[in-house]
Amino acid sequence: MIVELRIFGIAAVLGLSATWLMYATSKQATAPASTTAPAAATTTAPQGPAQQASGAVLPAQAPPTKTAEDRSRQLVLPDGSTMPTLNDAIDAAPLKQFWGAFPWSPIVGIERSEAGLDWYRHADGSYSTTQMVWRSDLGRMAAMTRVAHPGPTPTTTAPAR
Amino acid sequence: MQSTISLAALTLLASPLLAQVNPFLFYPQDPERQTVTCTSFVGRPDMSNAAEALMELDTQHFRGIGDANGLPRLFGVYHWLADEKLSTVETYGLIVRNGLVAGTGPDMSASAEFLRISGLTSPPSTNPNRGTWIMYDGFGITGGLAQPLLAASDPSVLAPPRYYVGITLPANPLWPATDGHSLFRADLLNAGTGATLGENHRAGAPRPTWAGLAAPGVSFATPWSYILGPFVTSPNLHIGGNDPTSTRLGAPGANFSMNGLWPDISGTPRRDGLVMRITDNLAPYGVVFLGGSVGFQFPYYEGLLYPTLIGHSFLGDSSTAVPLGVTSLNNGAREVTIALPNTLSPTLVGTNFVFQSIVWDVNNALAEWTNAQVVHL
Repeated sequence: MIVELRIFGIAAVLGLSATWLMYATSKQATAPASTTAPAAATTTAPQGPAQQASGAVLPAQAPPTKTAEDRSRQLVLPDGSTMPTLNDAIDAAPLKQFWGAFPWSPIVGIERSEAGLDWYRHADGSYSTTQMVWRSDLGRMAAMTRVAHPGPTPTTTAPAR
Repeated sequence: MQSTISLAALTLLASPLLAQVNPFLFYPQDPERQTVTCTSFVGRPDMSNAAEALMELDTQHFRGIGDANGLPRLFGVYHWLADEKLSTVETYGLIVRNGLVAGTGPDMSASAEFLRISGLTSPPSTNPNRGTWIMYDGFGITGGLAQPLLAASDPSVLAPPRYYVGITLPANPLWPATDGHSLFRADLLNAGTGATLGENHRAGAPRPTWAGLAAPGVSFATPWSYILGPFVTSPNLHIGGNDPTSTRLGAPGANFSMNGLWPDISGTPRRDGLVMRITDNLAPYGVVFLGGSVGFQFPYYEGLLYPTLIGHSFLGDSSTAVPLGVTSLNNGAREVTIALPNTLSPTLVGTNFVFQSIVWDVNNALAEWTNAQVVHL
């Protein structure tokens, strides 16, 4: 196979992008434009108070009404609804961007960690948060959107070197 | 022209179409989509000492990672956080840094830092036992790391020749006895740790990760890979090595890290097969155009397809790139056999083949080049 690849490489008359160009052109002529409307940014009420964890536990509260012009303190959830950003974060990326390849799980409460950081607790045991951090590359504070999903029990600890 | 394209790419990447990210990882299995059975241990780069766990991104092996039309762009860091005691919060940081000009590892000076974020912590928990958090630490689509990488880029490879992405770990004398943060790792065959699971590669392959230490000249390469890597919005391509004589994966399948980069086809006795794996969270059912070339080529930008096709070909143009077929992703992944075990001739030893693909999201008529990866036969 590899030998054939090398031979074909010399004789090839079409590059990948040229192949794709032809394919795309033919498909685009028939493919309908996407008609999917963006999900409405409504507010989802929390499902209930959080289970007791470390630190203070607060029920997730519906966000105060915001003007359409200022969504800088709102966190867009994967289902299109919004919740307030946590830890005074401004302009945090939508949660969907960093939720990963996991089914969406609704927020059930807010928990404060030992470190004083508030996290949203999700029904499946995941946590998510937003926070401002110093970005050395930007020379200013900027928001992070962070997600932690429960993983498998760790394997054996490495032996000492 | 390049800067114009890059600015346009930034605009595209800021659009809501790109609603997710892909972690670019170098690990035998895909932790996002496969059950991870190949982990040797959980460990830290320098035991309980403070150190950076660094993944090396070397343009001798990979090009076009996070290629936003010539601008490498990272959006966060993914890693599996193993904690010996979940009920106590772990503190860590994120780091992206340049390599030494001599190519001998990470440059640990402050001026070589592309990005440092400190003071991140693990989530709350009441569980006093060992456990794992799968961490998605995102900078955000509009706040990605780009300019420092661009400034250090070599125009012939569109990235810094060698740079490092990692987790900064403070010293923790409690690890591993009672508490502490460590990472999932797959040990090399010659790690000397007695691992029965882990990486599988040919003899003489270099170490893929580093322990970055603050003092100059004392950082050292570590003989394992980590579940660790940067977030990008471009699709990923990995080459896997298929060695049917090995049980180090802990499950059937190909090893998509060291075995794909450094397969053994010597015939004494191994003659590994090769598998190409394309993954993408952004277009999980996208159409995939597969290609290859003999060695990396100078980056080629198809201007006729601007702005629909994002990224560069590292297979060259139509005179060097070889179309290998068309397929589609299924739930974000597709594997394609390049060569079955025992079919590659040992006469190919010393040849470098490069593979790269285009993933086309038919829903928004946007296509992107994956990264390109070499196979060092």
